[in-house]
Amino acid sequence: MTFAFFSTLATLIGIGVIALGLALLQRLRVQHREIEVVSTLFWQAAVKETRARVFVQKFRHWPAWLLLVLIASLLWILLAGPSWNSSDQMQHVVLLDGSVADPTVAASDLELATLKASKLPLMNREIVHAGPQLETLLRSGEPVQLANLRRDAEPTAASTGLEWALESLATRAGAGKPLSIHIVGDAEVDQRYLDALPDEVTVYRLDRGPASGKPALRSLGVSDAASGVWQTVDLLFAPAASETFQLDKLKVTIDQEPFLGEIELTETGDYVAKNVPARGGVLRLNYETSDVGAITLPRRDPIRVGFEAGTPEVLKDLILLDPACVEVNGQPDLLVGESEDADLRLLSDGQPAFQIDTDVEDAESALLGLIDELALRQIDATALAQQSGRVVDVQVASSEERKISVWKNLFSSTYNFQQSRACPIFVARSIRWLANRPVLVPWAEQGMRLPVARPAFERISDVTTTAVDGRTLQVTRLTRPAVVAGSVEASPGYRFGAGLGVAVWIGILVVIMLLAEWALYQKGRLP
Amino acid sequence: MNDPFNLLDPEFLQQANAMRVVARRVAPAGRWAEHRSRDRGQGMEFRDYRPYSPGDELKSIDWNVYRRLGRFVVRLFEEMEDLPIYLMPDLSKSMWHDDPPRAVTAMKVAIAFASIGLDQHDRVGILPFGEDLDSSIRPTSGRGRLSLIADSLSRAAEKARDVPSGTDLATALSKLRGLRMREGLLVIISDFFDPQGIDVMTTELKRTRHRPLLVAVGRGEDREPSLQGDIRVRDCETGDMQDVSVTASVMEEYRRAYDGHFEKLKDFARSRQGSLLFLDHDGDVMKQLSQLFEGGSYVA
Repeated sequence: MTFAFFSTLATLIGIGVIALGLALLQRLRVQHREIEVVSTLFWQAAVKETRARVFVQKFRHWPAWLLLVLIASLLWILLAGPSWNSSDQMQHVVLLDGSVADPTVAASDLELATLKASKLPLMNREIVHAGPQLETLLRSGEPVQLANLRRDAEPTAASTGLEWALESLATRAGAGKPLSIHIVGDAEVDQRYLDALPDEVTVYRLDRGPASGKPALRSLGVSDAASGVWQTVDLLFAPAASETFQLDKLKVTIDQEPFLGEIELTETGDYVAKNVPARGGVLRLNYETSDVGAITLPRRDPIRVGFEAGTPEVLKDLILLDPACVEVNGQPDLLVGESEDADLRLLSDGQPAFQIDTDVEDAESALLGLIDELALRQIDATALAQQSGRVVDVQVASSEERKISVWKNLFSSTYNFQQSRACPIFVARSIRWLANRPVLVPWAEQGMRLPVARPAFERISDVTTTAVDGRTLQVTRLTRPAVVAGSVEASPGYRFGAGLGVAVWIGILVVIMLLAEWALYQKGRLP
Repeated sequence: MNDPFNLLDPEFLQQANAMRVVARRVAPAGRWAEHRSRDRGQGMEFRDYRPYSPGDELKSIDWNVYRRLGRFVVRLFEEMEDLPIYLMPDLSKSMWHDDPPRAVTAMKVAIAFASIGLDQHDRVGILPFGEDLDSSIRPTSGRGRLSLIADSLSRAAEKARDVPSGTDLATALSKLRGLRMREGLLVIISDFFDPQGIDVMTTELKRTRHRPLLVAVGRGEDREPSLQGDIRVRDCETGDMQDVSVTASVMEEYRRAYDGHFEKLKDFARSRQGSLLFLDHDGDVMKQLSQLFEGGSYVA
């Protein structure tokens, strides 16, 4: 027999203390009820009793003491959380995928994990949550309810994949120790990692149960509209079972208003709704009466650009050709000009060719990303240097506000930069970068992590997250849990009731003994 | 007349008067009554002859015997004398412990015997006792004296109830001996829970000349107390405490002590050709007394 809460030694010591305590209590004089009788003549003759003022008396009532010790010891053992020794030395770890963003699915996963744990041997099972790090929700021997208490409702940033968790658990178990890992969740597991695990480590994945039978989406997402209209996006979705999917049963709403646009079937079997207004509304898809998916559309308001006097017409035309930009005379989102207030500032050739002020503290480390983001790599810097006879360099500095400073002559006939392919790309990306528009949440696919789950975030509501940079993002939600990628075996059933019976049997035994004590007391066999 | 304990219940007395106390022998020099005396004297029934001696009355000489045998013999007739009955009801504190008190039962038994005795012209003495013998009530005879006896007994009982005392039967018997009363039937009605123990009681009882009739007034609870657990019993008379853990073995010892106590009393009574009657306080007094009077008579 093993014990969940105390060690075997502590349990035995506890029994000893109980026996000693009861023995001392036996030696203490009891508090007698005083009763007046006609005569004490026969009581005196019957009882060999020490006087009332004596603190201790001779040890009496051995059977009563033994019965009490037995009952108290059983209760103590019950408190210690006993369980039968399992011949199965296999250690079971229920691994909870911590990357699930939907709280409904997360709660369902935890329930599934505790249910699975309750069917595993009490002393050989635990629940581990794979969040940013491994967190043990349930230790061996503990009641499964503790897992619910320990699970933090607030999601944290989760690492991609579970390979690292499997590797860590296998290492922790030690070489030669049989280990079963039961994954709850949809996180990917690379087959190469599974193959690399030791032979004694077996990985299962818990089946969430049979599907409800109603079709669900396999993927859902938005992308820039193929029409090029900035204020719209194209919506793409793929049914899980395309052969049974009927488009006429699908209802699409945006902020509870029906979407009246056309939905087309593509060659790949997916569906596309073109030119969906990107005004930040929540688009929901209902198939028959079921809510099968939702996505928050991006908000694509026009970028209001103001131009100072002296701004090259070429640059002005390039900006206004971008459907995302409109010219305004007052209160612009971005100002283009030569003054110090300008966001896209035009400098003389004596200054660095490209000077970028970023709101990131570590500007140098951000440089590489900015070169790609602003398409600076596509600029033919060599030709430009030859034409200008100057060094063309890119300088990055930290600042409270974003700002890009470039040579004004880049947009004049002095150099041929305005005629290069890179020019409109650089301008468009610069405008978007300066406008600091939210990252589009483009896509969700069953079995894949949400893109917004990559950065650390904290949950605000069931479909809204806040990114580390403070931006509020809506996540795409698919109502059907994923069918996982990777070939992981289904988790096997385990014999029920293992480790549960002993406490119940001890409890029954205690009740029987208490009844026996009561019966003996009633018959006058016990004091 | 004031009868606070309802001792003169007519029905009860009528039942009592249907019984008789028959003396196995009667002490000489008593009064004329219904009991045969060892004395040969003026009675009606012939008993024996004896040789004439100077001083005998001439009318007692049987002349027929003189004519046949030529010797003077005197005819003896059986003298009918009374049997003194001394009634000792226990009025100690233990007799007042229960409700209704055992003392009332004891008094009823005493009145029953008094009624029987007075009805057959015996001399009856009431001697209540507790720690001491109350000899203030003078022995009396005559059928009309029962109410006087009941009244005296009631007053003595009220006094004992108001000023309760312990039990000391040995002292009471010792004092009784000192009164030098004529040999008779001594009826002790008590619970016999004398704290001095049974041996002191029997030793003193053996010293009395009277034929004993012991009436033990008790209850079933006395032998089988319904007590459980760890208790501290307090003697209602002495205030002595005794801690008891009531177990089966303790109860067995208790019953053994109880039985042994009354077995010694019974042995004593038998040794003196007397009797010990257990009278259940909760039962009918007259019905239980009638067991003592087999065929309507008790042979003392």
